[in-house]
Amino acid sequence: MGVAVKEQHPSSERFSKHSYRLKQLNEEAAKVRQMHERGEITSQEASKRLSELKKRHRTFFDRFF
Amino acid sequence: MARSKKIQKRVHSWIEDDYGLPWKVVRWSKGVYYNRAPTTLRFYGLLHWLTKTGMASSAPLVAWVYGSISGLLATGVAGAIFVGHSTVSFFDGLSKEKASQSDDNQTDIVVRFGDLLVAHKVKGTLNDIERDDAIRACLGVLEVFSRQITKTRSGDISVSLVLYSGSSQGRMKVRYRNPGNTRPVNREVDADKMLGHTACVNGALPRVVHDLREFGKGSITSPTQSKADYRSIFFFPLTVDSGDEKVVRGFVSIDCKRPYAFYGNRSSSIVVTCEPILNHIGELIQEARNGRGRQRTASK
Repeated sequence: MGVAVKEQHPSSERFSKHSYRLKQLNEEAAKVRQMHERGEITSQEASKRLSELKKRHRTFFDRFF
Repeated sequence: MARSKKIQKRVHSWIEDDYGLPWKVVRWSKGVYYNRAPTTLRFYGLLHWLTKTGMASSAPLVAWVYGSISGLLATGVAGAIFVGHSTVSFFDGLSKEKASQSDDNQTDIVVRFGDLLVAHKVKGTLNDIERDDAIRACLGVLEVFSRQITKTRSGDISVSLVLYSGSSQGRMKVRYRNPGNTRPVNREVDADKMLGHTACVNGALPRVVHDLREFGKGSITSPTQSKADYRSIFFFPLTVDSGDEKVVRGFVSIDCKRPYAFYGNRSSSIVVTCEPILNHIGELIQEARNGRGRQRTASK
């Protein structure tokens, strides 16, 4: 069947900032997809938002190069 | 065989992302080394660079031939121009990548792919064989996207879907692999041996292993007894609805032969770009689970 999900919060002992960020990005990308599916945003708008999401946590080094 | 204490300690550090500044600097340097430094020298590339830079730095030597400046000064100035021009060429090469529109194209493709999945969504009508094919196709698409994001050659990336065996929480099976992948499937293994299981039971968040060798020598063994030639892994746990609660059904694993392949912004690109595909795999697993539930209810 699988294992029960134990939510991990920033206050929890075994918290990984990087993994938490990845989860948040994934959830936000899912929201963009659902809005596009419902016809609330155009394909161009969805594409723009996804591009912004991908660039959100770029480091100075990534931006520079 | 259980993990040694040393490996266990490193696994804990990995889960907690508990690394000091010196280790972060080491990781950053490794990320640059494995992802940015050229690994091969192309003959024509080298010849192009030498002729271009040689031409640019030849002016002081011409001046020396005509006796306008001394040989020492000509050599010094030519050397300085050579270094300066090489630096400019290096940055030129890096900025070309930034100027390319491949990132935007990728986002457009994934939006259209999402449209296609929605158009073909016919819930509950897939039989087991069709569903298996659909999952394998999704893993194949994931492989292509991952290859493009990590700038990896074909065959260096492998995508697998690992699920808990039946109602077990301690045994797992690699159920599917991307098309063309010849590594074994359906071998049941102890979940405790798998780093993906550790990710599943610790928050079920996406996790990245930058280099398997950093866990120690004993960690370089594949749980399925296949040859472990991969160095970096990206884990994405999959959750499904089970009554009122959510349970982790397994995880998608994307592994690469190159260390640090998912370092930096690459893991972010994967979770955003591949979201419709990962979601679709989750829906297919949910559908299979609901189908079996219906079958059990009908047979009672």
